[in-house]
Amino acid sequence: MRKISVWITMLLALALVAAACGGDADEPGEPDTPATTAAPTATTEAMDDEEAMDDEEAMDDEEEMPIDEEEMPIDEEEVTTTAAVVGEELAGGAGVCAPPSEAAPPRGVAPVDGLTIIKAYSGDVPNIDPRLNFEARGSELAANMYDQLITFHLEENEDGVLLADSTRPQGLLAEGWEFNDDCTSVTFTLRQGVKFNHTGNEMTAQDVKWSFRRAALHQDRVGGWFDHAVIALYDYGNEETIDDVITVIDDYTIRFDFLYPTPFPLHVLSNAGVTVYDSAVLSTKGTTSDPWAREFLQTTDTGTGPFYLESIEPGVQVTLRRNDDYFLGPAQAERVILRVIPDAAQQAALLSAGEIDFAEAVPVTAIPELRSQGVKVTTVGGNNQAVMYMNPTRSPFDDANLRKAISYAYPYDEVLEGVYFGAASRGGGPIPSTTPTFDPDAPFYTYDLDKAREHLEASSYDGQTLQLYIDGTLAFAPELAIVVQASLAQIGIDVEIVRLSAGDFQENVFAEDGTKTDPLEARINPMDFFLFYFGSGSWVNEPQYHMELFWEVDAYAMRSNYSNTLVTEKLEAAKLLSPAEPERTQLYEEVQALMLEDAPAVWLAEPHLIVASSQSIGGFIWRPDQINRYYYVTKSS
Amino acid sequence: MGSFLLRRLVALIPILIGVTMVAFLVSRGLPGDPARLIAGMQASGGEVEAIRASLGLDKPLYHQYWIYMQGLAQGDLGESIRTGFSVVEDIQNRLPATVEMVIFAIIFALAVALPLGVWAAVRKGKLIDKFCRIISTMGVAIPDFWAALILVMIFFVFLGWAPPPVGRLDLGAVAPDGPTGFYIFDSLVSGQWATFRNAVAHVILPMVSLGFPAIAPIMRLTRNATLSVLNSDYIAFGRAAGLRGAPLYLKYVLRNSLPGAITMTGLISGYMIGGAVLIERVFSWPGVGLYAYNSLERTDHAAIQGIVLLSAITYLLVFLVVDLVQSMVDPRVRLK
Repeated sequence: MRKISVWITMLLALALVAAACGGDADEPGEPDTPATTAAPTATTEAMDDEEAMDDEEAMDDEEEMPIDEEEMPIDEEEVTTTAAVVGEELAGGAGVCAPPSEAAPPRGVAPVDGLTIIKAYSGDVPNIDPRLNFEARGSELAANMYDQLITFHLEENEDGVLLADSTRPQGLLAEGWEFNDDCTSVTFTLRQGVKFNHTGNEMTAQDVKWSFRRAALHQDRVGGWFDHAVIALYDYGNEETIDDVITVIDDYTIRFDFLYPTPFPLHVLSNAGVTVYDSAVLSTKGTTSDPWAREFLQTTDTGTGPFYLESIEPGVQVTLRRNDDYFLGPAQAERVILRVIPDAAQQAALLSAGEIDFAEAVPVTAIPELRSQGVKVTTVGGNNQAVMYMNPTRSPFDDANLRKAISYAYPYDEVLEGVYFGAASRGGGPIPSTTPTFDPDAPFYTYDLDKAREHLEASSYDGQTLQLYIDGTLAFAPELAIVVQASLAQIGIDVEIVRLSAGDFQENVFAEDGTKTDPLEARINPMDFFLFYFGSGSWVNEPQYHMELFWEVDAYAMRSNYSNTLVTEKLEAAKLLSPAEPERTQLYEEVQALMLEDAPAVWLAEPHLIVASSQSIGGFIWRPDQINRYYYVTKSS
Repeated sequence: MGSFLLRRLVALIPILIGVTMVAFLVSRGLPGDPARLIAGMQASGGEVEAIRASLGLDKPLYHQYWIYMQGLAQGDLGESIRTGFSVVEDIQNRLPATVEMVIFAIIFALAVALPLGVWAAVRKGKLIDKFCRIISTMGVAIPDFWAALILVMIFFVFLGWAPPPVGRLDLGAVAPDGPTGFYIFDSLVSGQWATFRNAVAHVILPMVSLGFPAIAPIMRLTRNATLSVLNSDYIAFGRAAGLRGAPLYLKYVLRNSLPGAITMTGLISGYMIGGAVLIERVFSWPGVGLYAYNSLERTDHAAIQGIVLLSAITYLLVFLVVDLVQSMVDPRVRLK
């Protein structure tokens, strides 16, 4: 019997040791190794228009700087950078609506036959129709199989990441553009000789118009539909007017007329979902019940992009094949395989073993270990925000003192290391710290329990338990909720965390009473207090776009019922000014101060994009949409 | 036997209709609005309503159910809002992966549990019996996904013997042509030996992880049944009549101890089809478990109903097969 006991003890010990080594790395936990370095802010130098022009003149079409492997040094050290694609935005004033196009984007590295890049996806490969999704994986496929009219100049930073500079637009399918004097109309000259994959049809202005009509008039209005409205191609509900505002002048010339000028039409026209389809194919594939060939585009692609769809195995993988006739020259990799590996810990193991080149979801807790195993982990700060909303229209959050008490009781700096292991920046206000007009001197809250208690005492809070709602499937949401719960306990506020499924959470956030016309009254979100996370917040890194999306009274994603007449006035006034005017920046700075005073939310952190790849990979692109383009990705043997 | 089968199959119909009703109501009762999820956060309330109407979600429940049943009668389970494919197509693509893994896991569990169970009974109280008890305890105590993670760590990360946990075949390997979707079977019959070896290598760790917890109950049942058989008069008589060794154990002991194990195996395999989700996750196995999980997360009504229906059919068929096998091994069971 004693022998048996020894056996059992040994087995138990073995099991415990194995358990200690093998937990799911997704689990939160205290760091037992020093965390990664905090993010230094390596900003790309802002260029003004004149510099941009000089640069363009100095460049020759044919001798466009080729990006090759030598130009993309692979940094073996820990890489932490901040992609601040800021700048004096597309300058307006004096009738200038956007700088002219720089020369064509550079060619990729010479093609290598047989070269395959493999990326692990955490979930099913979704809808591959670019205009029908906002979702990251579908958009990544779209961005690589299709082209947009516009792209942006890429500037390599010291860490080898190619940052898209939103002050320097380049024509992709468009070769050049000309705005009218009041920026309400733009005429694009299209590139000639661009061929669609699969058919070899030449892309013309008819294809552009057909694609924009499809996005506007398709019954499942997502994707490009929003993009069109935000640049005032139509008002919501009046999508039919798309026919009047896009005019085909000839095969290679097309004009867009806007209802009113906005500062970012070129930015929006570079979004991954704003693509051009092969209309000759799609117009024959439509049926009465499916006029826009939705079903056909579930399993195939009709773009001009550097890659085309070779095969799709639902739930297993998508394989992209190089377009050897790409108008900028073929990409280096012959194939890009996007493979479903649902478990984050297995993605990390496969990356360390060199089986895959990119992992989509590496747990932050695994970063130090991965780096020690020679995996390249780059964290890129962008315009992501983790935000905790407090509904100022409902008790007890209608009391500004309670909101301020909560804002003071949150440990802003500790979280950056404790929860994010350094892969996040502080931020702290409604406008992300990498977005133009962000005010670093705004009156941000700090972790100050004395002030928190002062405000709490001044408030009418009666000791009731506050329910904090989270989407339990969202990265970091459970960890942040626990931090909030623990910190508020210190000032005597009892918080109950309510975990919801993704579907349930979204339904609550967006709950509406259809009978009410006033947006504030129509919102019936029952969650007074909830955590929300904007992964790649605004695809256009511009304050007007950001505020229009998240904080204006009738904003689509504004769900906490915040409103302040003064803020609204200033936001409206800023819309009338060109981005180059200092008064506009001044207005946005005032908005930030006002909103911090109102404290309708606690801006918890700005999580970085974590890119884990093998050391042989270079040419990773950061754009505000955080969607990678494999055209410039290189792999050395 | 023929009339028994026919009667049982006919009896399935009302049960399945009941299942469709429950599945329908349960999926509609799930929190989360699929129209909102499709529309994305930038869509306005009106647009969400438009999508809801296009999905038929604005109609009364009984109307939605009627539309669903009409489709079902034609073999149409609806379209998954998440994948954009028909649910039938989605399940066809994923079911073979899960079934293949479950079949191997069951074979593995039986191959280990039956001999060990009989052996432990025969050598009751001896070392092998105690060893079996430890195995049983571990099987019950260790969660299958945890065992899977440990196996991957030992055999892939440390030793490098196992292939990477990337699914049914290596990255870049092409799925074999074949009628069944079972890669091992298809590659075997079409003589694609490289694919066959690859598929076998990939199934080993999932098979062990999924099969290991099943060993314990089957082995315990076999052991207990064998013990009572060994103590029975007819075995005492057989021994007295000079029966020894394999003929005694295989022909008289094992056969009489099997019925309980068969029922248990049936139960477990039904459970495995639906419960393989965590194993599928660890091994990136593109099966129905993961599909069900992802569909639930996205409130994908058609897919959830399809999966519930599939699980019900699986259970009912498994029980039918169990009854048939019981009647073969146990003459006391008569099919009426």
